[in-house]
Amino acid sequence: MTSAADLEGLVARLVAAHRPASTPRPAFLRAQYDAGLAWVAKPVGRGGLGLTVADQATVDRALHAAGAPDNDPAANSIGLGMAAPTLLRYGTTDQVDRFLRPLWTGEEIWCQLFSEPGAGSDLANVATTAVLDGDTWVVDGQKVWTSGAQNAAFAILVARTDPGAFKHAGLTYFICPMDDPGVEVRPLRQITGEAEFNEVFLTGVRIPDELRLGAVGQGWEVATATLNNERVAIGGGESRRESGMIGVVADTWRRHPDRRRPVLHDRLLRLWVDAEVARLASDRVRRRAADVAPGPGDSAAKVTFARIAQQLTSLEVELLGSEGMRYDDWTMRRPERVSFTGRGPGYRYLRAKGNSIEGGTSEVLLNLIAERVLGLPAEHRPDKGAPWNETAR
Amino acid sequence: MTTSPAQSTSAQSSSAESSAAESTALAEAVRRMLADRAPATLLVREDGLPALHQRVDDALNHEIGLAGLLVPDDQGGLGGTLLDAAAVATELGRACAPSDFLTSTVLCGPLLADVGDPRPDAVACLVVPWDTAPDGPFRPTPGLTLTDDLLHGSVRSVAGATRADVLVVPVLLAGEIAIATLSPTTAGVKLDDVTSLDTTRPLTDLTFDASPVTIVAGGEVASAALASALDRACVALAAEQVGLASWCLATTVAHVQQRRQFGRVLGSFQALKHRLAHLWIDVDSATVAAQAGATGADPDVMASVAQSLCSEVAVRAAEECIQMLGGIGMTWEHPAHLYLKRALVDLSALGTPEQHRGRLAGLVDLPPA
Ligand SMILES: Cc1cc2nc3c(=O)[nH]c(=O)nc-3n(C[C@H](O)[C@H](O)[C@H](O)COP(=O)(O)OP(=O)(O)OC[C@H]3O[C@@H](n4cnc5c(N)ncnc54)[C@H](O)[C@@H]3O)c2cc1C
Repeated sequence: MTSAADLEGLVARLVAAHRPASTPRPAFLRAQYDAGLAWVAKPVGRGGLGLTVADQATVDRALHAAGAPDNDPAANSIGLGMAAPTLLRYGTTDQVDRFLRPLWTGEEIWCQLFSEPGAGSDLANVATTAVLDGDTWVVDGQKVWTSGAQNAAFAILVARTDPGAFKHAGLTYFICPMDDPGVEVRPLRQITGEAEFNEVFLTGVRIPDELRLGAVGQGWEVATATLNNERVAIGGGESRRESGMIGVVADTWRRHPDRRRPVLHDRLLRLWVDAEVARLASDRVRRRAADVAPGPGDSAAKVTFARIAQQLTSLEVELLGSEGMRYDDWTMRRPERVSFTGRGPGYRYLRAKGNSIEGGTSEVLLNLIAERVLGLPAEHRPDKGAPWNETAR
Repeated sequence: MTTSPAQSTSAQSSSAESSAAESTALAEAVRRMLADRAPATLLVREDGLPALHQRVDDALNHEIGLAGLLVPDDQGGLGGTLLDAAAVATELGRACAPSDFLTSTVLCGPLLADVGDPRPDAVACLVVPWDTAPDGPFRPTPGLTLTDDLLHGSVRSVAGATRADVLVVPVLLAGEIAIATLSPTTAGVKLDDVTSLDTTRPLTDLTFDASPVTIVAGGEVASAALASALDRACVALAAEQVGLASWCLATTVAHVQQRRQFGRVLGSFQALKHRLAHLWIDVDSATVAAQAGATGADPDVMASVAQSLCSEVAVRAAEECIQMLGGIGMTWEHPAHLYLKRALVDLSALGTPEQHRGRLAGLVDLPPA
């Protein structure tokens, strides 16, 4: 058991050895990782100390007070929230040694090459193929909705390695170098005017077998672990009262006494209660031991997060009346980091629409809860009991 | 019996985990007792409810030994925590059991201790309408007057009075709130049983006609004790509602897993799966809210957070249960109707959700229009 004082002591030692004011940012972050203070819930030797996520708050406070740089987590949310836990669970020692530290420091950004035009909710339907050529896999296909692909050095990729196997059994999981000449990234402009996500065309992309994550044919299991972590990363929530969207909208309410209406007031308070309870529920996740993998129960937090964000942002636009009819800027941009709460009310409203789609739609998560938590029968699946290349798609 | 409340007293200094474990053990003991003494088959026989009520409270107070649970040990009580009380309340809600645990053990026990008149073994009843909400300074029931220590007036729809041996009455004394006590057998006291919508927590109309009372506290002490009593009761009621909602969810899930129509079990229809998944999320949130309230941190905010949320979840759970049970849910012999009635009444008990949200508005600086 490490106390807050112990953790503060470790931070003090780190900043004494690597003065934040005079140490280049990447060097400081590497030292922080090596000291186990990057994410204390992760194992020793992997940037952590095997503590709980809640202990990280103590470390972050001490680092902040000492003027230390942060690793700009918003710029690498897929790397940190999804690739990292998957690497830790399924990666070989060599893979973890090679990838985890630069991932955490943000020197290498990651993206997620899962969804395809024909494989969204039904992710196991991916048609991108990977064929072994000697000790290298050759990958061909098209991915879509790939957030941040333009900034990424590596991707987590699901591809079909055995089209003759059953749908879920023919998949394999890879680490894909984004600088391969066969990778073409084209921005896809979205509802907000900007392009967070992209289409990614993979043509003869060569991936050495050392970059396979998990066994051949184990891709579905590995991808499921990633998706469970993604839901926690998106819906994982806030630690302070009124942080996140509720804080933004409560602020709008406080600044506009002239626009207040009784019905909106009750709606706002209802959402305040919901957000507060969601925050307390995510504390439960944060205090959970590091070795407890996210499961179907965590999907609840993501469904709730999406609902609250959508209801709050629509309330805000309505509250603002004619001010809510304006939009800050439709210019097409490719943002380096995404903030759900950033920019204006119109942006917040539009971006929140994605919260119930990205990382598993709310409908799909409700199926998951009904089946895995409540034990209700699975959906009818005509595609499940036959080889993938013989089923109707 | 693995845990006695006396043990949970000593747990106050130990870690949160071990006290949570003791609350769990306590809950299990109560759950076993209720499965034995108050099964649904007895609950639906309305003529047996008063006897059932007595049996449940005898077992709670004397066999499991929860009388005086929240009264500090130096005042003759058990010095238990609100977490213990919430664990018990959840089980009472799950069984929809008639009991004075909430109104007496949780609400009045520590209230009397706070004003220096501890009666850990009494069945005490706070004589206020069951829809009284904690919000701002306590206002006594209009028409209740005190002249020369004689109480006049009436209070309608009081919960927990039928078996009480101490009546605790908030009154105005020289323009200030005061707390009076008297026995229900005192001269001029009349108790009229009401035909209650929720027969598992029967309501009573009380009339006082020059009934002599004892003033046990006044001023700041009285209002502070009343305020924290109501907040505490809100949390325990929220915990009860979590139990009630959990029963409704479990009963509904079990039903749709077994009932077949159109050649398949009902639970395979996505329309029902999604509603039940939503309900599971809601019950989970309600559990978090009630639990957070029971830790006692930020008591007024969390009491209203828990009460506004859990009240609505309990009603939704009971309504979904009735709907998905189909015709069976409309019958008198299936207990679901008792859960619905209790949930519906408790929507307004200790304040409606909207009143609690209105109170929160003041507490968290979100002023009204
Ligand atoms: C902002 C944003 C960022 C994204 N970033 C990435 C990324 O970086 N990498 C990546 O790989 N993907 C990404 N995605 C893709 C995302 O994972 C998919 O959009 C999502 O899984 C849904 O797939 P789909 O769009 O094909 O919709 P569909 O699967 O076609 O769903 C359409 C509708 O049908 C419903 N539906 C589908 N199946 C069922 C069912 N069984 N029962 C009931 N209803 C059902 C859905 O809930 C939805 O409402 C991103 C998406 C968004 C919006």
